Amino acid sequence: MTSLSSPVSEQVATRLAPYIGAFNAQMWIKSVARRDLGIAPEELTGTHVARLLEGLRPFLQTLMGRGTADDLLLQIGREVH
Amino acid sequence: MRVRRLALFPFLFAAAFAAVLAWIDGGEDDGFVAGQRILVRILAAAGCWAAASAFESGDRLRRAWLWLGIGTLFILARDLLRLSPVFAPSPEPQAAHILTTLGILANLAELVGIWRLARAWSLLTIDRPGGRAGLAAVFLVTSALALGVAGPGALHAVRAHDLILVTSALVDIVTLCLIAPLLLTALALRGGTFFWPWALITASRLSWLLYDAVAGLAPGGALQLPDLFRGLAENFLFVAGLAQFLVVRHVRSRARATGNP
Repeated sequence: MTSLSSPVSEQVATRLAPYIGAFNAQMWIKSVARRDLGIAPEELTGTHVARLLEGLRPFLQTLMGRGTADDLLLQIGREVH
Repeated sequence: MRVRRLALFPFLFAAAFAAVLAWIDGGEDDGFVAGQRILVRILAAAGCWAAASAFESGDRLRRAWLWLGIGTLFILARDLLRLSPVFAPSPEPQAAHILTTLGILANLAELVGIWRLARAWSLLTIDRPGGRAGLAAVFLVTSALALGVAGPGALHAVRAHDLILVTSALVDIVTLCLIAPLLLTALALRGGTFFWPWALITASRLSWLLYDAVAGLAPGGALQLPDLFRGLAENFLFVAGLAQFLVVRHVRSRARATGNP
């Protein structure tokens, strides 16, 4: 498993882990960072947060429904910089 | 949030059922067994509706839970009809046809529900624990178990040229095979609260596997094993639905609370 040393990826993973588990949180962030942003999770910065959260949206919407996923992503967006 | 405590309920219920059955001397009281069967169907349906209510119209998992709830209502209707003298103990061919049709409809609705849940697996699990080898092993083992348990019934139905029973047996095999994606989703979500609905619904499907195994082998002794496993399966579905409702509500309430300082 890749270590997530970036504060941004760690912050997002920390907020998702209570719901989807630490393993899945890191895998989802790694996947979205590489697929949508073309970078490794360690390279994520505050400027990538909006696109990272947008990439996570389909996963979370499948798991917890659109309304709840949107609320959670809004919360993470407010807290992570 | 103590969702994990819900997992105890099916076992406590099963223990209470077995204890009462022993107390009334080997299940000679058919009313108690039938009442227990109807109670667990009602609980399972309630769990499915609770889970569906956690989602909004159009959400993928809402439809899955609704199909599971509809399937449970079909089978509940069949069990209620069986309480009538017209439908039991030896129903006329037309009454028997109604019961069988309800059973098939229940199986099909359940198949759609489980299929929709299982399809979410491909969206939710990016990197599977255990890698490709682990994935293949889980699929092989569950498919072999499904074929081993439900296969003889399907073969018997084919030989008897009974299309309805063949359909039922095939649906059984497919839904049992779908244990694998449910289990893998639960494993991928381990450590998070969303692990629980998936783990509990996997436990429900495994209980149906055990039900099929004992229903096909045992003639129905004093312990009433098929009823015990049916109760476990329905109660795991009940608590899975409750867990789904609770974890979604928990995320929503926390997210909204954080947004309103």
